[in-house]
Formats: sequence, C-alpha cells, structure tokens
Amino acid sequence: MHGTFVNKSPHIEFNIWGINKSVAQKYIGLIDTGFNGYLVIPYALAFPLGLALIGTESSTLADGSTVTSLVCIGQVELCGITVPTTVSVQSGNSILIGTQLLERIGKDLHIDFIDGKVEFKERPKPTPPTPPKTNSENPPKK
Amino acid sequence: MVDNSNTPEDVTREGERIYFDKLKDILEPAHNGEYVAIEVESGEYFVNKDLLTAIQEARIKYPNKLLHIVPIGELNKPSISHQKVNYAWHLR
Repeated sequence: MHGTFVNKSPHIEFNIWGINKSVAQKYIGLIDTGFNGYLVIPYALAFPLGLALIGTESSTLADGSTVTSLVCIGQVELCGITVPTTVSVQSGNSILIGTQLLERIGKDLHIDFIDGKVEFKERPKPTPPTPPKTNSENPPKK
Repeated sequence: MVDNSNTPEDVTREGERIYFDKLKDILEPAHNGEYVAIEVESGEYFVNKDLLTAIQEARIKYPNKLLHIVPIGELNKPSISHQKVNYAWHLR
C-alpha cells in the first residue's frame, strides 16, 4: 500500500527535493483529481527543499479570484519512481498532488474507498492482436 | 543562475499584461486546458498541454529567465495585487 485515507480523503506519501537530494523531505499529499497540474506545496514546507525557482503562475480559485504563486522545479520520488515535477508554492497549508504528476508515474492508481486503500499497480501489458484464423480445411462453399 | 533583473512581481505583472493584451484572443478557446509559459522580456511564449513540457521548452531557449505561466482558458482577470492601476496621467 502506498497511501492512506485522512479525513476520508486519499493521501499518498512522497519524497521531494530540489537541486540536491540530500535535503529531500518526506511529505504526505492529498490526491486531488480535480487539479490537473503537478504539485502544490505551502511556503513553509517548500523552503527546506532547495527548489529551483523558474517563475510565477496566475491561476483562478474556485471563488473566481485570481492568485499568483511561485513556480519551481524539483524531483519527486513516488512509489519508487523518480520524476521531475513543477511545484506551485502557495500560501495556506495544503499539499496537493495533481493529475499530471500521477500521469508521469506511469502506473495505475487504485483508490479503494471501502477498505481505505491507495495503491499504485503496474499497468496490464496490452495483449497483441490475435491473427485471424485461416480455415484451410473447410474452404468456403461456392 | 537565474537573471534577477526582474523580480517575481515584475514577471507576474508583465506576464499578465502580455497574456490579456496579446495572447488571450490568440490562444482561447483553441488551446483551452493547455499551459502557456511566457518569457516576458521578449514576449515569446511556449504552449503545451503538459505544464512541465511547456516550461522545459521555454528553459531551453531562456535558461536564466523567470517565466510567467498561465493555464489557458481559466484566467478571466489579473491577480488583484498586480492589477495595472490607471492613474489620470495614464489616460489618453
């Protein structure tokens, strides 16, 4: 199991760092399927990570207001897989994991709301198409 | 090392100005749901459906510049703290 439920919401544990892995921190973030970005981290948790600042981002909140956040680049290790990620650094205290980061992991995410399990599983390999059978013994009747 | 001649506030203000004055009509609605990374000094912009890819493409050409990123189609007004103030002496 890679994650857990906190207040009936699926959360998952990950390691994150910026330029140097020696300062990596382990955080638990909310899996937010309504957020199509990568990762949101509050200021206080972002400073120790040594993230590389690359710019700013304007985005619209649910109430229609526009906010600006700092955008950084870092590395995330999730489910044993390390991928590059953008990190939106905002006020507040939420850690949000977005769908683009989950897509980068390249595995299927299974959320079991009944048993409270959050797991990544290998994607089933696509089965090659079966060649059409030739019926040489019974040729079609003319 | 990042060129710090522009502060993040400068980049946001100029990035929002470029987006609302020039890019919004060009990119919406055809690219709604994608991201645009704007290099505010040149005005050059990079569009991709993946946020990280848009940033990486911009960083190849402008490795030391701060960028401004906008989710296309989601932004209807500038951020309040960076709204351009029209004083009387700016009006024509």
